[in-house]
Amino acid sequence: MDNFRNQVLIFEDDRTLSAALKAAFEREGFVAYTTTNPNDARELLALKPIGVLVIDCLLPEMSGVEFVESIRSKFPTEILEVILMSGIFVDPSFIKDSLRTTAGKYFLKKPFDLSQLLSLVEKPVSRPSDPGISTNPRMRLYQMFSQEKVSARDKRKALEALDEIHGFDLPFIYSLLVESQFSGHLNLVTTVGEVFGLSLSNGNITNVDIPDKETYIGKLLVDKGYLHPDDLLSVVKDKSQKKFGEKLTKSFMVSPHALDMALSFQMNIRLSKTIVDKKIAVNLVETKVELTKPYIEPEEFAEFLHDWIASKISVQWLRAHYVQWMIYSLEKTPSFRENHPALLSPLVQTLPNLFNALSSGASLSQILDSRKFIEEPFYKALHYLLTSGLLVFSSAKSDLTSQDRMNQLNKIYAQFNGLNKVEIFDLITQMVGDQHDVPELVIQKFSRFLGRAPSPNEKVLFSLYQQLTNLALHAFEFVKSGKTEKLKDEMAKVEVVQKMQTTQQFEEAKNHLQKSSFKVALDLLHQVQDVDPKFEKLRIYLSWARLGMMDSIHKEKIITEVEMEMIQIPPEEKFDAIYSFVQGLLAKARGDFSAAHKLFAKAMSLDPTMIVARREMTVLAGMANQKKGDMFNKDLKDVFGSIFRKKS
Amino acid sequence: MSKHEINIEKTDRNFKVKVTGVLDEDVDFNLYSLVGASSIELNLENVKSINSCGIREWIKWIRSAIGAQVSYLLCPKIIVDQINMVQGFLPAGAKVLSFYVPYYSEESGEEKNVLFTLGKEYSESSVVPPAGIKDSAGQEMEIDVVESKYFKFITK
Repeated sequence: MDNFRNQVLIFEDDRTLSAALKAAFEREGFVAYTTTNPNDARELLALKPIGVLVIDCLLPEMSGVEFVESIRSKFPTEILEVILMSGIFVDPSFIKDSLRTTAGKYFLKKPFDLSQLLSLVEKPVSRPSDPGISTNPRMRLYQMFSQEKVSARDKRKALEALDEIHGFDLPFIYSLLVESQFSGHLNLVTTVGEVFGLSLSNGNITNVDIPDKETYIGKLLVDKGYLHPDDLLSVVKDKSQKKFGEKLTKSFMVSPHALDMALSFQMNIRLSKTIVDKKIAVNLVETKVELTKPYIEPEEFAEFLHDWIASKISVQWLRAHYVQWMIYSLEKTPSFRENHPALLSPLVQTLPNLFNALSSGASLSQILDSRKFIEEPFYKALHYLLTSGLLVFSSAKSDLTSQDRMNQLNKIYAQFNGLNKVEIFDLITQMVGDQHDVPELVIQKFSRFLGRAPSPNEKVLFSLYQQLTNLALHAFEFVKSGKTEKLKDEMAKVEVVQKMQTTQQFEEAKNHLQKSSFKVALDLLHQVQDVDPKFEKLRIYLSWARLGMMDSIHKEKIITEVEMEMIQIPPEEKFDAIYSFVQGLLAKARGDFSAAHKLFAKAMSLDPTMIVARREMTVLAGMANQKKGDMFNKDLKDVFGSIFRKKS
Repeated sequence: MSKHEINIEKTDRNFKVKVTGVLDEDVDFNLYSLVGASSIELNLENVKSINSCGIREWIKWIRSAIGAQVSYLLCPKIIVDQINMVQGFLPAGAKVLSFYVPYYSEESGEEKNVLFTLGKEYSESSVVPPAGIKDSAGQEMEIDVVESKYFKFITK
């Protein structure tokens, strides 16, 4: 069996000793290779994820010490442990020098007891590794998911230790900064050198600086009913040097309070835009920051946090992230209270009995296998509750049955489905929580992560384990072969072509929606979704198509699905006419015609050329007339009155 | 009152620059031209904080010192962090002559910054932290940063 569990290379020219060592290691569950010459040794080290080298000091072609010195720069101690052995060179000064120059772990004088050698090497474990004992800074951060209480200093130190993170880690990082009442700056740098960041004063977010300076103030003020679109137009036309907000307040179009509210919401949108599917370098600068308006206060932050997790983090990332916690159950923290706002949030509310299931003592894997919840919102709600500090992972299931392991390995295997070798390796890297590019470390961590190989008697489990390890090993070997960049270039080219295709399909779908050809539109949008689930505004248009296709039999189901889609729309997509229009369609489907009318009117105020909204208003008016009532005509006045009335 | 102060002492083409205070969106480095210098020594001991705007402005400013031998002196932790994280914060070929390393005592909770100097506690490729750093009660102190991250600019 080709297994990458704690692989050992024995470099020894005495074939009898070499064979004995190999047998001893294999009995303990290691995979052991033997070699007698440096070239073979180098090749094995380059191709296999070997974690331990046991090497004789006296070898025919070059000394063991010289060999280790020649490979050390490529295989530092984090990747490769070295155990030196010799029966001739046993002088204390030689031992000391050779350990120093090779960064060796131990020196064994021959003859030695095999048990002594085995005791020096970390043994394969029979269960998946515990995320609670990671030394990786990013993983240490997530260890807080299993700790009820963490001191402010420990939180700060965990954040300070971070180096490279994933953009989807940011909601949790932001929440730690807010919760620990941090003052200072969080500076962020993308892999292409873009610098951005945010500033906080005692946990209040006072500034968000991102490269994309698009302003949403006008749209926000119109959306919230603080500003009439005509007034907005006149301010846009004003060519004076004053800042946009200043023009609005000086001309008494909006109050400073309304402007502050819009500005803090704009910070929410800008923070949302930082949460991307990319690697990001982070660094924390603790300093006094003055609290100046506008700012996002912790209560507001909790709502925004919900929206970012619901709309920005992909289910693929969450699946990979939570693989390590599958055998853990969850419990309530002291912060839990029945009326906590997080429990009343849309994500949690749309999953009935979610909190009961999560705190039932069942492992995460068991809850998922129960199939009581739709996977994507379930993961998002789980992440939100853990990030909000209402839940923690408690104990890991100690008596893992074959079925438990089977379920766990199946979940990992399913994630590899349809991926190429580079993508598989990237996914493994994410599963083990590493952001660094040392393939040997990644594969070693993954091997610990999977646990010991099952017995060949457990045929199905054994076969699954083998398939998984083979996929991982092939991915590792591909990455080591240096072909990654070429494949990534090819993938990038394919992505460009796909992007063009999906954009075209998306535009076609929009045209079909305008013409009420919902079935064609829905098919096209599904094709876009298959290629790029995060395509901008996809969820909004999907919702429109679904509502358009709705019949009386599937009404409840479709309404629930669309409600779930609407929760997952990012803040930056919520301030244009189409969002209000689809919300109007949803209200109409629910039978709330008054709300629907208001929302269609709002869509038209944001985009007066929106024919479909006008059409819907006419339909509603027609329905009202049929009922011989004047409800909507009366309402229309109220609606426009309330939308454009300045609130302060 | 300005949140920052930048003083440049020029001797021929050798510039000694002292930067103090807060480096943020209000800093205008255009007022402090580095053009024409053959060597620039920046004393950063009293830089109190830097945000993303300050980082971007710094990179533009330091990039304008074309052809000069640049060295950073007495770098506090916030500067070391930027050197490690942001490409171009320390221009190619520039040297860090000295920097501070935070230490912490588990026993007393005391924190202290210890100055590491090029040629003493570190070379251009390795670091040898001094032994026996003690708090005011004589208790052993430990380095209070992740060494692999903090010393990255030396070892990479």
